[in-house]
Amino acid sequence: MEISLKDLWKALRKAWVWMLLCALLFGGAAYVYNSVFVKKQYSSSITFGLRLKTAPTEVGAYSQSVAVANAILPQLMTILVKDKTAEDLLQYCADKVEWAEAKAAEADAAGDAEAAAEYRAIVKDYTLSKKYTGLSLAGSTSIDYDSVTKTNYNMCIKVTYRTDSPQDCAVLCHAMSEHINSVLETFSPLYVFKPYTEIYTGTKVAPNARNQAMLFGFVGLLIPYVVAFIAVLVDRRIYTEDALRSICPNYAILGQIPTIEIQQEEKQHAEA
Amino acid sequence: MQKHNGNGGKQFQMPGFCRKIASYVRTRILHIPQRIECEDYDKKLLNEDSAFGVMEAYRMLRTNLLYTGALADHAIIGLTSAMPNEGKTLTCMNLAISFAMAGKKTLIIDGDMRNPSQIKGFGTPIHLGLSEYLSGIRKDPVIQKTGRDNLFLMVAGKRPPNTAELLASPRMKELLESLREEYDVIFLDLPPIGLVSDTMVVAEMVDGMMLVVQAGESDARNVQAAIASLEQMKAHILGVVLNNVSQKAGGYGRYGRYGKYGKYGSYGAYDAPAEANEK
Repeated sequence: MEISLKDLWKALRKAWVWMLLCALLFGGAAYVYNSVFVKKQYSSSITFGLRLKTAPTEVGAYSQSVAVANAILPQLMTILVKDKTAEDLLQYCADKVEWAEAKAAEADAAGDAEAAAEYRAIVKDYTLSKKYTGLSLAGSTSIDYDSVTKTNYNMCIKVTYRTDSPQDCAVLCHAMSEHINSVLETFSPLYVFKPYTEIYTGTKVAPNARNQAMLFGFVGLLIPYVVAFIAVLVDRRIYTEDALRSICPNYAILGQIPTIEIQQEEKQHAEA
Repeated sequence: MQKHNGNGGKQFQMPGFCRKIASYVRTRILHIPQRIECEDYDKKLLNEDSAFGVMEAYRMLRTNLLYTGALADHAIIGLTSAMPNEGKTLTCMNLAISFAMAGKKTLIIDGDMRNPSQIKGFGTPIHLGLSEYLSGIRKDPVIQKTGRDNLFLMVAGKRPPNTAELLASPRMKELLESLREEYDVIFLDLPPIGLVSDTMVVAEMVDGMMLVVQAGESDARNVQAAIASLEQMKAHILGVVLNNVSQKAGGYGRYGRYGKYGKYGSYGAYDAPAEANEK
């Protein structure tokens, strides 16, 4: 191939209209697709703080507790995201709904309308709109350093749930805030582990149509270059003497006849 | 993409869209000129007013051909290409004109009876030619003047159904041997070797074969296959002519900058033919 990538790039820069058109087309298509067709995802998060139950009395005990918290952190994060915890969480929600329904029925029977309404509110709070499994729950944990600096907790962990229903992820976070104590008891009796933030609900996190449009716009910008390069790469036609010589090295190139354009150009020169 | 041709070989061709994109990139973006589809041979044939570059290219071709040693005596040279429309007819005509201009008694035989084109170039009045002679309709070969000094033409004649058989007949061999005595150079314009077997049967009757390759059009694999076919027939391959070479593709080699030296073009005006006339 006698045209290098650099040559092609220089040449294609001249065809900027095509590149811009492709970029706009790809970017626009990505924006429309993400806005209209892609299922939206919402996220809710809750931050837990980890702190020693008893206040440190000796000098250096506080920093020691931080060190211990750091040491147990990976295990704790694993527990928070593993499937078993998610399944426990779903079971917790189901049990809670069942319990609240039973209580509401009892309250109805006793004629306590106010209590029945409270129990029904609990049912509503813990009812998930869709059926999830431990694997399908997209939970994630991260260390919330901002909260560590703002609070007096030794360590802060943010748990985030992401589903296509803003209510469901809020319910999950809510259940997690209650359920986490049982998780911690099995983990370490020395620490207090409890939620201290409000649950952020209903934040749309995906799809980010603008980012996707920018990404695909950039890809679109490169498409003409890639297509042109591939087309030139697979082009096995002979253009130059060197190419011909490489094909038939045993035979002489007797002559090269120039193109009509060159003939005309030279004729014009001759006339001039 | 590959197709099988009638010759038993394979004909390679890029997918249409790739071909179009590659052509677009080369012509519109890289500004490499492409072949002009033009049947108007009058404008392409060499004459005293032809551009310097073209005249010089054919002169160079003539000189190189003389140096191959095939033209020691009255030589018969066959011209073919891998595929149709690669410019072999025009190259044949202009090369013959170049030899005629140099004072050599030159004959062109249009051996492409399936697609005769020489008659279009010179506008000769008689349409009888090779096929009539080979099939026995005419006892003597019909050779016509072209209106140019030292240049004669034998057209292909009416298209026969059995071209390959006629070309392979002993009458063809006799014709070439008889004409050899009369002319200094005989050019045989043959069909594309990648498509039909006509060229292969004639290849052993001529002194040498030239392969015309169209820059920006001929597929490398087809050219290789054409050379392999000629080698298989044990033809004497004189060399390859690269036709329609683009200046901007760099194919014009060291002379690629001719276009910039405008005054070079004026050399053509008082070059060999003009000098010869003065003498």
